[in-house]
Amino acid sequence: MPTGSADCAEGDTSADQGDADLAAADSPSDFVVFFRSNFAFLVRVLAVGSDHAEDAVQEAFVEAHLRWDRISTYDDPLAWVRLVAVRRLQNGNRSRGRLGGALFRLRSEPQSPPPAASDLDLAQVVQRLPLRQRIAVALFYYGDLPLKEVADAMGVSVGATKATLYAARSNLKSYLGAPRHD
Amino acid sequence: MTDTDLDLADPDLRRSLQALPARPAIDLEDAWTEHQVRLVRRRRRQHVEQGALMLAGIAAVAVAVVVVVTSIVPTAPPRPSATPQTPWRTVSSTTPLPFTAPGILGPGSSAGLTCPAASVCYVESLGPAVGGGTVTTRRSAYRSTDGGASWEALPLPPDVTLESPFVCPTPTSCVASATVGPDPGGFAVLLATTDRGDHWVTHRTLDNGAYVLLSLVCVSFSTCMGHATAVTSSNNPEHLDVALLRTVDGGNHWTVGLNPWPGGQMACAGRNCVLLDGETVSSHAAGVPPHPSFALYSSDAGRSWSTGSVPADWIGGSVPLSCPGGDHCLALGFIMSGPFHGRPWSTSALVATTDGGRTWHQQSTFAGLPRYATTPTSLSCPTPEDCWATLFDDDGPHSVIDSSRDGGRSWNLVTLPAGTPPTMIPQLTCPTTEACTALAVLDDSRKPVEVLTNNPHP
Repeated sequence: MPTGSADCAEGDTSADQGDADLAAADSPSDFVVFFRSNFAFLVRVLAVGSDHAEDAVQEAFVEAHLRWDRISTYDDPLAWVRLVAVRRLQNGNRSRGRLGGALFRLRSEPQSPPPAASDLDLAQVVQRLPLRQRIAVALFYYGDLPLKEVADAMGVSVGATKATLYAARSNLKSYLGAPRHD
Repeated sequence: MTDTDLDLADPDLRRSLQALPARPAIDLEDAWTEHQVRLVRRRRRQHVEQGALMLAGIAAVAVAVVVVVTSIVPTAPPRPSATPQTPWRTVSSTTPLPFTAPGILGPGSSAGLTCPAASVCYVESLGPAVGGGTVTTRRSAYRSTDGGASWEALPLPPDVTLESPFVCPTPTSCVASATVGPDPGGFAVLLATTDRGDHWVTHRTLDNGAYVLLSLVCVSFSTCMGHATAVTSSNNPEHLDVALLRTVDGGNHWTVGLNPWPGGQMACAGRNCVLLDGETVSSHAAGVPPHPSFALYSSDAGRSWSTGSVPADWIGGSVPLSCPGGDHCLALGFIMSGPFHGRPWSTSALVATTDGGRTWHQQSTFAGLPRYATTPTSLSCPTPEDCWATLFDDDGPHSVIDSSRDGGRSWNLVTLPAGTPPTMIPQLTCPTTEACTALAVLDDSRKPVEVLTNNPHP
């Protein structure tokens, strides 16, 4: 069974657009507000951790929309969306990783070595962290979420989140070489 | 203990990150339009699937008619099925179940179901699924002695947060990694019971309690190991250590092995232990080459380790592992399957070792499965020949259960109980060849849970 991220038949785009107008008409107004209030910020936060943040956040909001009757009753519906988005990033990363690994293996030309740490800026260095650490860094440092909410979004305990953040900071330090003096 | 106490706050890092240029540029109107389009596609897809289910029902009726007709006509005796299928059913009699389980985070984030015997299961719970919408950590656990039909809460010590699934060398004795005390700020322990969870003892992990065991494997009740991450008491990130810790006296004393921890999944059968692969995939997504897949093996219950070999095209990632006994272990992951429609492609595959982990060879792929079943999430092989696996669709949510009676060379899809909605099945465990129990998460988030089984005599 093939796996990966190749195109799936997703239907006729123009028909989708026509139906989308109808979908817009039956979107609960509080969901529209919820989407418009939170979408951009959540994408920006998770984009620190992954290039695929926008897609994951879009899918998470679709999941929320489909269950809005129930999710709108939660104390913090955004926590649910964050959790789903992070899971999609993690699951999607496995698929992309498989594809990426395949691409890497199939390349015939010699690989250039990864850039030296000194050539990297902070954004690049963050991208070198494992995905779990990137997401933790994005939510905690960029998104300013408390540890408990980071743990909730990642579906792990606060202890595990702290460990992940420690590992991330340790890796950042080693990538950047000397201690930072920002 | 606060974030600042732990020196995690790091305002410099926070300022530096927040000063980075925002990316991507987001047009909210475009995003809203995209949301509408995706919503329509999802609803359309649901309609198609419901239609397919209806067609499948009609087809089933047609097949039944054919079977009835042919059964009254003398024919040659049917060939025995290569894989005897015991019907699966929903077994939970308590509705709703008292516990909730995580969704699929990969085999490293197990849903916490452990069944050391056909009728005895333990499960960790994320806590009450109340309307708060916030996931809580694992502070409660339940036991079933009737194959998952009914569950009772276990009297865990107060202030315990479970960090690993239970490991139960016998139906009555289990251990788990946990922290005790406030979260954050508690100390790490090994939690153990010898009377099916009625009473518990705790052993602090290492002398200063500095480590949190994030995984746990036990070759006996007293010999356990797992990878541990330091939450340093000195608050100095330089002291960070991720290593394999090992105890041979039930958690009273611990020694450090495999330092640093290489990553991957670990399993043991008797004194043979294997450790397979690691964070292969994430590094490539970050733009750097993945480190090669790897295999380590130990024949002395984890005291010393040697390097094994894996197939050249093996792409590991987080691999579900199962070691049914002797020198046999099996693992689910991915194999490069060559270009597909002109693009590089990989295929879910099973690799196996019959020499205690020295060499791994490809046993099969899952080419017969529906295309949506892409990510293996659990594997349980009570014998080297009998295996069950769960695979998950990244775009679903859907999961399937697959079974093999020939050591993973061929696989057959398990038919789930009629009426089972699209489901995530994060975990499955098979203590015997005729009794499997699986958790089905009927919601994309975390609740509620159903228990599925093929156990004929729960």
